[in-house]
Amino acid sequence: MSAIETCDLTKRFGDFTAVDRVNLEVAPGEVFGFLGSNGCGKSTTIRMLCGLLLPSGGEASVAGLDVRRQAEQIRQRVGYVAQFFNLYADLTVEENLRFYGGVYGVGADLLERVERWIARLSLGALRRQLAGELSTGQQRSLALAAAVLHQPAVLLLDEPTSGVDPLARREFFDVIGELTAAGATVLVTTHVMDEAERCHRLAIMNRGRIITEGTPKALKEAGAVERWKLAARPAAAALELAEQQPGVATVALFGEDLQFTLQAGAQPAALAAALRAAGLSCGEPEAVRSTIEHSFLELIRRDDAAAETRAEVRA
Amino acid sequence: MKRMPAVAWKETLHLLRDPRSLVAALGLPVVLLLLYGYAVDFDLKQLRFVVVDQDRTASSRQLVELVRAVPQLVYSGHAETADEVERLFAERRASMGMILVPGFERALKERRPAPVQVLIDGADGSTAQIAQGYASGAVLAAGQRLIEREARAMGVPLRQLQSGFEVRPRVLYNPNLESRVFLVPGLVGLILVMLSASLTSGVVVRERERGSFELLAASPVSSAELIVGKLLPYLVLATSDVVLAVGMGWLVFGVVPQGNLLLLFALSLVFVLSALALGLFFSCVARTQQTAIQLSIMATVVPTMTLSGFAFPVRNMPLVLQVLAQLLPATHFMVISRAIILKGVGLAEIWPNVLAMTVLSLLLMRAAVRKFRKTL
Repeated sequence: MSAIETCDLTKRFGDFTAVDRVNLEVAPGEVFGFLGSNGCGKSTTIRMLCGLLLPSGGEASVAGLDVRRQAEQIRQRVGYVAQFFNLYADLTVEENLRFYGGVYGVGADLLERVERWIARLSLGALRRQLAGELSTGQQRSLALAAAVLHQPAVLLLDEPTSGVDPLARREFFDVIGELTAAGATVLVTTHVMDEAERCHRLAIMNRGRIITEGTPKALKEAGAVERWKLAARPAAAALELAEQQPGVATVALFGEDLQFTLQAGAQPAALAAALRAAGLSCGEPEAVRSTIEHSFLELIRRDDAAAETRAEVRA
Repeated sequence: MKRMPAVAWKETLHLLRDPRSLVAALGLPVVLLLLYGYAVDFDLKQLRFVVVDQDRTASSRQLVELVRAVPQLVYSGHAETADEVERLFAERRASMGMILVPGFERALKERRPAPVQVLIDGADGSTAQIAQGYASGAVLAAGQRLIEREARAMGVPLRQLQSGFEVRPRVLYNPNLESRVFLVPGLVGLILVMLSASLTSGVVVRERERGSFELLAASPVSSAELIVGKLLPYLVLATSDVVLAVGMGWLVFGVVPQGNLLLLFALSLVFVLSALALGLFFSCVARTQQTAIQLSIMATVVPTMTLSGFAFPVRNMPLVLQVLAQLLPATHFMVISRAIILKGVGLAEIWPNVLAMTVLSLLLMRAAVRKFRKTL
């Protein structure tokens, strides 16, 4: 049985379709990453899964329970970390945790669990600090602790690490690893690529739809394009020229260097030659190792291009 | 209800962390009581009166002399008619009038009740209350001395003339003042409404503004647990305000509660529920805390001050307003509070008001709970 399963899950707000026939299947114990730019429908999907929004169409089940008919039971089995800090700023770390333990009905061992999570997330020194005075990273740790006190079977994390430094992010994902090792299932949205690589599987969402899904490795390969970098001065003039150069598919400035991809059949040396001909100082093009971020951007670009073509055909 | 204590405890922490609401809750009753109490006291030292003497006899002139001798009444001239007295009231040049109609002396001599009409400016309800008793007392005392003189002059025993004098007080603008001191019991109601409605108006909208409402909605806590948990601390606070207001009325203004205080506290709780319900309702409706507070003050404090009988007796209002007043829980609480504190009566006498107030409170609470469920 899947921990999370959706079938044509749809959410419309008036004329706008925020989530468009999404099909997902997440196995128990899996860390499933949801990638996509802001406003692509990730948060809306998560809010439907934890019972905060009713779907406009389709089906969804979480921990084997139907989101429409069994929302009450789902709430007890799901832990949710929202995109923005929304604990009580005027309550201390400890008070916030006790409160959330209380509303999730954690019984006699509440204090013990609070202590365990304060220790695990290194909040010990801050226990009497008001939550509003914590740094963003500490607040996210606190939100995570509040969401897992009741030992949820499914954890829904909506950009849990936005605004968090890389070190704290790594700790966050270590905790996620421990939770899934203990049998929990995690659905996490992100647009940070090093986080995406720590997920077992990923789905990329664009304009309300899942455009592709697979392991991080598979997605990286699917979106992989040969990519080159070129040192040219002055950089701004080089970028302007490169954009008009035939055979160049995409070009952008990364630091001081140009990074570009080519249309089929074009040669990287042709761009270097063209820049030199225009009087710019220019090195030799070098191949760039493709990252998951490149693949992600490429897959989104292809989907947008396809959508544009469809729109033109219709017009 | 097992999750309710966590909610109540958290709400208490909010209260303790925000000293402003606590200061308001405990300071406001003190300020209001002192303000109202001393404003009334100040006005009474300046009771200016005019005389309309249509009898123009030795007896009528003697009575006027005797009343003028009362130190707290300031004589400010003669007038020709009652209409003229009314005009002086409107111009605030006098607040008491004494009218001696033709035949005053003859009635006195013939040992019939001799009529003295006392007019009181009732525009300021709480002042008029005391002014009326005061003026009547002063005129009666002066009349008594007049009769003593007459009796001596006529050489008859005093008791033969005893029944021959009658003061007819009439309060203009506001003729039906009923209880001796209605200030304190009324203030208890006003304070409860102000605090309950404004404090609870934040409980939902504040969470929505902060975003914490989303986490509550995603948690398994039920709306009943949330409502009870959220209202409980404010209920406790409101109860301590009743104790504070009654205690201050007693110690500072000498209004000794005559009836069963436990009954008063119990009925205050019922009344407070109606104000809490309104606060909760507007907290669910409004988008910001400010709007919520303004809406709930508009809906509770304003009608309580104007319609409930706090300052102006309900039975002097136009019929439409009288009906409207009956729909306010505060109107019934004013009656209940005055009855228990001033008259010392029990449930047997006030049950219709208790019933009406309870029904209204429950209806309001039901509306608030429904709205709250939808918000969740």
